[in-house]
Amino acid sequence: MNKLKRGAGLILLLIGIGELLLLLGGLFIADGPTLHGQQGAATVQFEADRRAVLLPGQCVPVRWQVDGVEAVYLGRDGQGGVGEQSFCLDGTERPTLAVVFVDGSRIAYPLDVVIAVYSLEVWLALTGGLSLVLAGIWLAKIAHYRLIMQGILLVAGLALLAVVALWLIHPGPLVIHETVDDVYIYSSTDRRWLLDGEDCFLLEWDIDPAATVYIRSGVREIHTVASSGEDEYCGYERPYLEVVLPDGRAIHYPAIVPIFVLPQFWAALLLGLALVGVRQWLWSGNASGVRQEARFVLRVAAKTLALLVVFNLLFALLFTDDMAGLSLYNWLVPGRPRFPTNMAEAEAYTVNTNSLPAFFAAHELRQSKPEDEFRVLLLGDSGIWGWHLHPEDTLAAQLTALGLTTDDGRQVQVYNLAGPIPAVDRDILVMDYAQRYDPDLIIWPITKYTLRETETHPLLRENAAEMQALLAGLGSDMTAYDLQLHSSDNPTVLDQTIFANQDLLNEIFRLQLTGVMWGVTGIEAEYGSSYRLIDRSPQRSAAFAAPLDENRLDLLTAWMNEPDQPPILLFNEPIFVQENEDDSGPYNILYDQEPYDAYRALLADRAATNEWSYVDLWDAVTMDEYTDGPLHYSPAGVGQLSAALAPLVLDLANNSIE
Amino acid sequence: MTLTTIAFFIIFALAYRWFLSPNQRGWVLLIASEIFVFWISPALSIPYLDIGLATVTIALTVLVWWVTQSRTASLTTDDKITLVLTIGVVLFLATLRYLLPSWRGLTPALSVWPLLLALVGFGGVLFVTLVITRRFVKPVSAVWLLIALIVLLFIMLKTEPLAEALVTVLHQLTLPEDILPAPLIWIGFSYVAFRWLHILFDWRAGQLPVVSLRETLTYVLFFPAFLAGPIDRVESFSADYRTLPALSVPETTRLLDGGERLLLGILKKFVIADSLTLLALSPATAQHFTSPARGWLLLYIYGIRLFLDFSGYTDIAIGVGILLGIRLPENFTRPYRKANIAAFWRSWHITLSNWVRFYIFAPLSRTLLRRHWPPLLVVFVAQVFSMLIIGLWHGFTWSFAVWGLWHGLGLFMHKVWSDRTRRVYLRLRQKPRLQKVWSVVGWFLTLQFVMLGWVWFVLPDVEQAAQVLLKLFGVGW
Repeated sequence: MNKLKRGAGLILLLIGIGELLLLLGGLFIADGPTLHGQQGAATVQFEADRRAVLLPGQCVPVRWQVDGVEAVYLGRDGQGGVGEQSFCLDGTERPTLAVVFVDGSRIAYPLDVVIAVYSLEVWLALTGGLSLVLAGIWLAKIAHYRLIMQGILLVAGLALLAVVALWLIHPGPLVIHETVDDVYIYSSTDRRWLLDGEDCFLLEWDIDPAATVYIRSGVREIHTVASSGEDEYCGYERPYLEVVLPDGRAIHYPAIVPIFVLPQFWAALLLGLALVGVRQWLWSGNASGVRQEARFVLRVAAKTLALLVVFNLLFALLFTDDMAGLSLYNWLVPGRPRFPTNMAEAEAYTVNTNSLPAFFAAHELRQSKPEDEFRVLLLGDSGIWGWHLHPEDTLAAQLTALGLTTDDGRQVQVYNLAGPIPAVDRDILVMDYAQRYDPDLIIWPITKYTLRETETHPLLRENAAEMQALLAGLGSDMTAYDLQLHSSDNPTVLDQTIFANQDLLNEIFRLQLTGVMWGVTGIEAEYGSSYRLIDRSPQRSAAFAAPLDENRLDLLTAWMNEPDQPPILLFNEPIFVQENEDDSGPYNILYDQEPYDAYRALLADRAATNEWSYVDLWDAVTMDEYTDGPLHYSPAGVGQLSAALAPLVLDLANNSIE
Repeated sequence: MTLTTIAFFIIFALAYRWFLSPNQRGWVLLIASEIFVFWISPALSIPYLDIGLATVTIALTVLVWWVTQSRTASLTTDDKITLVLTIGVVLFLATLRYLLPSWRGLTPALSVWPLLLALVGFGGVLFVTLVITRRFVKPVSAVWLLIALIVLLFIMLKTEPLAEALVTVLHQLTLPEDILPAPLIWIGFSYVAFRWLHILFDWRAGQLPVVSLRETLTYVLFFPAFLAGPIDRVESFSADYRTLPALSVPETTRLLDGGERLLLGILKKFVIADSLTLLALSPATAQHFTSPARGWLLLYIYGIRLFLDFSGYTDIAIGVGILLGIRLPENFTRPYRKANIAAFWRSWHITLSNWVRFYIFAPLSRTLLRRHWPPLLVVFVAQVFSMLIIGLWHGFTWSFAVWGLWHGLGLFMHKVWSDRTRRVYLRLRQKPRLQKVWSVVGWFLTLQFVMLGWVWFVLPDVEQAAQVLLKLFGVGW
């Protein structure tokens, strides 16, 4: 029997050693994969030095020799017929040689090179081989077998921990590269994940040929960058590149580097620790003590997990959307005069949230309506919201301050429901929600940019069910919207847990905290001491120009023609016009002359056809009253707009009373 | 310290308990603490200063140990192994920069500097200094020289203009002009310096127990307490350290105690204190509160946040210490519930207060009494000076100085008051209800005094702090 066990053990040992040798040798020592191709008279040979790299971001030399073809590309770069290059693997693509033949056909030759730590097969083979070796040694009872097993476990454990350490220090890049309309777009980060909120990563980009590129890092930070370059971002920043193509379309590439590590990392760490630990148990003979303590820790962990599950389920059962409207505002602290959107100020008591109930719960509009109040809601974009303006300088505040009184003796009180990102659908969703606060009139400022073709506004995605119902009611084309991704028509229990709603809960919590500071200080942010007035000289192209979206214009029309809603005063917002060297130059960075003039004519025509209350105020603000953008006004500029609007508001108000 | 750092602490503590044989524990704590000094050092604009400052921290600790050793005693095997291991750790971490680009800090290319710095800084300077101090300098002089050096370094780093001047000089020596100098950050120096001084003062007073190099290094650099204290005493630390081999597994009580303190610390620091940060008094919010009541609210939130933040860190350090088998001293014992300012200072940042009491207050009082100063004046000078030192320990600024004086005067006034009301208080013991009222009034006044003191602490500008203090009482609106 012992002989049998010994024999079986030796066989297992041999198989295990063979498997490990094959695995490690095959991956890192044996020749890499080679591809041969022939197309007519053309020949292609493409090969790599190795079959695998250990970690993402590591590189493998590749060589090619191609004859009788039109062009050769490795990744994004055109190459000669013969070459050698180091190809860095990022986990999303293999080294691929794209060959364009003389007949115009194109064939891609991908080499099968893997990243070892990402490969399940590698993990299985490694664990299996190691287990076979250990089992073989145990069964065969070869001389000093305990010591040898300890040694193997220790070496394997430490090797894995070394991989973990290397991984920590040398994470691979996250690479995007693609060609859109002959524009080659490349973007990469030097990190795949961050250790914590203070950790940073480098974002690199290269657009060829040069195009207009912006980097957005949240609503408050948009800046133009060169066509190629790099910049550092830290912690929770979520920058994304916005590349404007020659036809004006903008494409977004988010650089989301999460603040946690990959499951594979934890697997390697735990396996490494486990191997070292098993070896220690065997060695120290204190296995029972450690087991007992480990069981205790596991019991605590299991109970914690159970409690977590119970709390999540209770939350899922009890939490409703309306509860997001529970708020300290208008109760312990005063309501906000405008939505608490984050401005780029150093010290801001603001929170960006996309929860409509939470949004409105914080607004002063939620207070009950006095009998002598004529309630006016003001929509609009950042200029109307009051970018860089104190609350008392915004359009809503200045209109209210005029003390307009309707014929029936009610005071006109204007509420600011504008938001920094202009979008017609966002405005409609907000107007629809605000109907419950009994408005008497709505002022709806729009500009061509409000009707541009763009990605779905985040507020819409977060309130997809409401938006879908609204669109269906208006008979609009829903396919233009990316709402299905976040649709909550049939939310599962998992969708309603604390985990699934942690961002929302975080926003609501921070909204209350910042509310206390708003209540205590009476300011929303440390406003800058001064703002830069816009330069009127002709130095900008209409880089932000985006085509008008017919779907969104139809949506506006449908909403304006909706019966059973308060009267709406629609107006075209004032815009900055720069001085150009020739008459055909762009008005500003948003608008070229011709499309903008066409938009104004179209809107005026549609308003006349449908008998809307509409006014075009595109030149109502003098050019020296614009601040840092073509739609951002100084307090005096807002005053000019307010003066132009006041009689129209009063007329419409009195007409509605009649 | 971030949650990630704490997660590493926990994994380390469990691995330490479960996987190490008893005799390995002390050594592993030493190596882990030395590595932690390098790990936690931030990248600085001056090339290699991060690794340089970490190396100097370790080298100075060796030097402090060295000058306090008997000149007749030779190095033990334990000391020799410790020295070799320590040099090995420093060289290994310096060498890593050749292999791992992300460990090179702001340096754009490979260079021999890290290794040379480590070799020269640690090996050369330390060796020469060790020999000089042993051969040519009397032990007492060597200790005083070292004390002077540490105090000088402390003043230099804590005085902003001096620190800036130092950075500028280093910057001009090492960097091109287009790179802006960044502030000099010597992580953990405030605590490490006071541990060094504690060893040196105790040696001078003949109270230093015999401690090995390994114990001294681990004591000074002990990673859970490296960043935010507490400032343990070396005799207490080494007593625990020597019992590490006897640390038994399983020992669920220790796990529970340590785990509970850790969780409590995480809750206090990362959940409550961090959430309150936004609401607390700050130089920005101090300009904007719109009524005295709102100002008091911000001030109270600041006081609560500061306590939870600092005591949370201490709880985390104590919790990790318990898991590792080292019992660190308590730093806070319900300070805001104390009925007088003296009791407050016996329960707020206890280890720093004790340090100042042992090494500033007591010797100064004794010296002045020996010179026949009036006792009341001795108390005044000793208390005000001690509290001034506590204030300046946070930074050599006028604000911290005024904060220290505020508390020094408070302590003196309390001393005078308690001396004069001692008989009344003794009589109150017969009347529990009146005594309770007396305590509540004392608690209320102490709390207001402490909270008002935080105005000096939080606002870097003394003038602004004075204005805020007046505004809290309705003056200056």
